Amino acid sequence: MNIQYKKGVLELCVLSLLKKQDRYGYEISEYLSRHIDIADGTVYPILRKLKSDGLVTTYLSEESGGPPRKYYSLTLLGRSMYDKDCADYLAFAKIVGELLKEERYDKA
Amino acid sequence: MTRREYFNQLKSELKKMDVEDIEDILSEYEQHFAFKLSDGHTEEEVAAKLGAPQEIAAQYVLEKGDVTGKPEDSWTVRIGLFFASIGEGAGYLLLAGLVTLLAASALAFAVLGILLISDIDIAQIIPPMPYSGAVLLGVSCLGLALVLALCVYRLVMQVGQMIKASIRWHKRMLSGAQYPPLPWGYHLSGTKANVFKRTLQVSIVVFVIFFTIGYAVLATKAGALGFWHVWNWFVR
Repeated sequence: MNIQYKKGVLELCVLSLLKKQDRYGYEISEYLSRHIDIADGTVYPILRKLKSDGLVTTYLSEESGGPPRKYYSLTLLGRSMYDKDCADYLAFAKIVGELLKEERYDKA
Repeated sequence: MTRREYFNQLKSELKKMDVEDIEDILSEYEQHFAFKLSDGHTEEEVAAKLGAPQEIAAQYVLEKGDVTGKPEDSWTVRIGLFFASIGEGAGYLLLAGLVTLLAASALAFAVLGILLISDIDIAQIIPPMPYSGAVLLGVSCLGLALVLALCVYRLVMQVGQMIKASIRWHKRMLSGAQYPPLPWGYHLSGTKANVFKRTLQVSIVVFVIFFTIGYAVLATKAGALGFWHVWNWFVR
């Protein structure tokens, strides 16, 4: 899939994962790469961009027997942005789905 | 590609592309490797699945369309930032004063402690008292000196982090939020934090205990709670 196209959608997926609970980078990367065909390393640049846009913040949490983990947490701005983008995306995907279906019927 | 090779390449690519906070970025990939290796994957497997270092590094370079905020390189912003810098500068000057004060006290108590313990009285600054009490007070002075020195260390680190965060904030304002903000608070982590905490606790305890015993010893020897009156400490 086209990487630029995928990037926007991936941002939305990351926000949706963080909406339920705070997670650390590896957790997010694992979850996404299990469901979507992307290189494992792609998630970290996305997290950084979300942070510089102010949609997520990070904090360090000490783990017993290991280096501290960096957790990502949704900000208020991130939350409202997610709600808006999610609705937009679903509406858009629905229309595109219908258009593609019509196209198929025309061919058949 | 081994873990080392991967990191070397990623680091040099990020440098080439002028990306900020390289260490912070690399630490995420360090963790990724650590998790994957503990799951039993080989270094080569992990590196291959991460994606080529060149491609990863390129994703950290923001394209113009990626920046959500508008670059606000206008006169008003510049003037605002200029006045903000003056305020910040005054704050840092105040903090520098505090740091100097604390450092000087730490040094003074350390010297006093050493003089008391070694029983040397340079320039007659040590008032008369039995040596048994002087040793105890000397150790408590060293304890206090260490407490103050640790405060100085923590404060200096904190101010350093604040200056870094402030520089980043100025950059963000001028570039339309191209880089993530840096935390304003200094964070000690891992073993460093433990060592710091332990040393602080021990030095506080040493100070309090030795001061108390020293006081008790001196009061007993003088036969009065206000032992300084007995030995005429503050009388010229």
